[in-house]
Amino acid sequence: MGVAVAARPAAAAEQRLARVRAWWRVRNPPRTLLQRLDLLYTGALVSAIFGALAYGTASSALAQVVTPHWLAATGPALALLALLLTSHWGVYQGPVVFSVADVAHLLGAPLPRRGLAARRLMLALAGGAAAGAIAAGVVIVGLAGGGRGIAAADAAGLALGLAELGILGVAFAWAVESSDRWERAAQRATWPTILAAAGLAAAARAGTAGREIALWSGPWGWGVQPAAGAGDLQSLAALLLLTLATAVAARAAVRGCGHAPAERHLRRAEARASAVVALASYDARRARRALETVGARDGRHGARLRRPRTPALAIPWRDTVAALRTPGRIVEGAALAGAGTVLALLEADRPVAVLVAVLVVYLGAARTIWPLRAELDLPARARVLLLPRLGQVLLAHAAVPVVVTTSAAALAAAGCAAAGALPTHGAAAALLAVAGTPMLCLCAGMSARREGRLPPSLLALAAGADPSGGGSLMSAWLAFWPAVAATLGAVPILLAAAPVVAVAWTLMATAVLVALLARD
Amino acid sequence: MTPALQTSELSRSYGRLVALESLSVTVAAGECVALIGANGSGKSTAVRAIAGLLELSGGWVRVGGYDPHREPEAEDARAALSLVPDAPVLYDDLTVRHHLQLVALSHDVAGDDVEARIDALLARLGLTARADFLPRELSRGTRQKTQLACALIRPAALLVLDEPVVGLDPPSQALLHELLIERKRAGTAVLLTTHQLTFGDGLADRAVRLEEGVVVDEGPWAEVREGVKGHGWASP
Repeated sequence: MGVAVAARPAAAAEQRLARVRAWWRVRNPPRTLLQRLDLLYTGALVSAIFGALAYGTASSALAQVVTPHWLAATGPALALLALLLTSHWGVYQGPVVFSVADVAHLLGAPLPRRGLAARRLMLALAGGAAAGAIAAGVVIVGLAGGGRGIAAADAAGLALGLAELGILGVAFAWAVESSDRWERAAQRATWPTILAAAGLAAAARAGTAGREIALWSGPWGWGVQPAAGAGDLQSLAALLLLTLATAVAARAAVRGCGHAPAERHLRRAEARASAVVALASYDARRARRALETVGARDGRHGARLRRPRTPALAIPWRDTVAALRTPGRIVEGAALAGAGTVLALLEADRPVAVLVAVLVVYLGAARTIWPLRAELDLPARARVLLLPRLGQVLLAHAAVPVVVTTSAAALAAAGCAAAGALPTHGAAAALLAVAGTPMLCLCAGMSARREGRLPPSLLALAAGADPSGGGSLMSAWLAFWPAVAATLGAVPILLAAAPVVAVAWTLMATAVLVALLARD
Repeated sequence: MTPALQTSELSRSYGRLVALESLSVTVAAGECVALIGANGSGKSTAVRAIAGLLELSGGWVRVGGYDPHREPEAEDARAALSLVPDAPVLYDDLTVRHHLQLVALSHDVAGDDVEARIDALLARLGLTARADFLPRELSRGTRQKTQLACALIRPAALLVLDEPVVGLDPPSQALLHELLIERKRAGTAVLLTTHQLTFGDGLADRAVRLEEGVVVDEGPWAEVREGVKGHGWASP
């Protein structure tokens, strides 16, 4: 027995899609013209009122930072990082978004996928252009602030350049979303791109030649040229190049918009649905884990390590095996810890910079401490290790992160010393920065210990007693341990001139944190 | 004539984990094949791969002669295949009737009598009183019946059902059994996965048993069912 299924003409599929859309519009009618005008009017009114109020402050604040020289020195690197972020958006979600039900009922129907995806992609491309134009607006406010003013042609050129970069970013995100090959490439390019951005920033600050290299290094440089002090002809050439690149990328994106496998849409739809549920219960960590399942890659399975003879080393052994299987996390954690230490030592006389630097080290520690989070968030996976008391387990989990981040901090400090870049009281500051790193790991452990979900008591308090509607209390809860870490870590470096006090502070803080983490 | 479903060496891996390996199965019109196996044996992976919802690591699938993984040819495969997933997937803001209308529209179920057909199917499945309810107002079993109705409202050369009886009460299971036999007699090919062996009695012609993604037994339903008894599967 068999069955004959006649092939359907493409026009019939398009008609079917048009009928489905018409039916959908009846079920979910779009806003009427009057409603849209009303929304536009309200938006314009609110922008005018608050814009006028905020403009003066924003303009003078931005004017202190955003200058044509700053734009030329930092703009290409920032634009490159923005493109990198957009590509990562493609790894975890992307511009063409379907719900799980869409995947089942629309992508599962004999409807043209190109037609289903194209409209979403066009909207996203328009959104990218709008986001770029808004970013340009902010930069223009800064450039024109402080009584400097800005030529209309330069402003228009920058707006066009950044809008085109927005389109380019969305087109790139779609390539990443729809193709496994592009997704892998985007993930592998993360650190090289960050290093390239740092290199561009350094080159642009080094002199005119470096600045020219940064401005011509790619679309990220072409887009900022009109307001970065480049000549009119040069800016025009750069914009033409960018327009060409954007047109090619947008055309390729639109042409390929029917070819993404349903599995890629389904994985993203399921992850988004889980993340939304997690966020509804203020569980940011579960939301992040849900989204991470989309871009998850298999770790190295070949990593082997001889089992320890003593049970006390079981958890550090398990964490070391995990680190060997996912070396990216460890490298990132170590890189952040090293970079933070370098920044803290180079800017040791500026308290704000030291606070920021210590936060960077804290982020590195938080990156390396994920087995501890897994212990708390995924007890089913880690139950075997929960036989000892919880406090001991958590403390043992801090061992590998402490070794990794402290080693990275020590290497970074040694590098600074070798380069002769240590400040006054430099040796003491370097030793204190390294000695303070375990504190930051313990703070990251304490933060992880709270688990990802906001406690119901806090939610109740936030809803009842917080005049901001809960926002400030919840933000304070989230920022608590990073703030503690920044304070505990920055104080000894800033007190390097009084080493006895600084050492006492470090020892006391570390002992208190150990006791807190080790409690059951 | 082209078989309703043909797979050859169908394989799917998730990194190191081989979820399905070298599944070759053919289902002719009017035939019912059951995929059976323990949890994690690869049944749902097979169903999703056949429906084009999972990319293949190896092998190929043809539904009514069309490749469900290659656009635009896949549109014809999707027209030929009707899928009931293992858990109901419904829009939050569409009622039961709206779902059936959407499926009818998107699958070209034409004619003035579409609403009458929807009403008849709703009545048959005992959903008439719930026709204007949203999914969140329905029980798990009723949502499952809605999903079944979505699959049955349109003609399909191949009906693929992944654990269709989960969440259904015994009378609803009996009704589904009856409906599937009717579809078979009308020439529809059926591929179903089930843990409930009694559901396959009188319905499945052949069975394929999977273990760890690998076919370990296949043949007439009664023989495979008998062979399963020695592997910790009690009847039913």
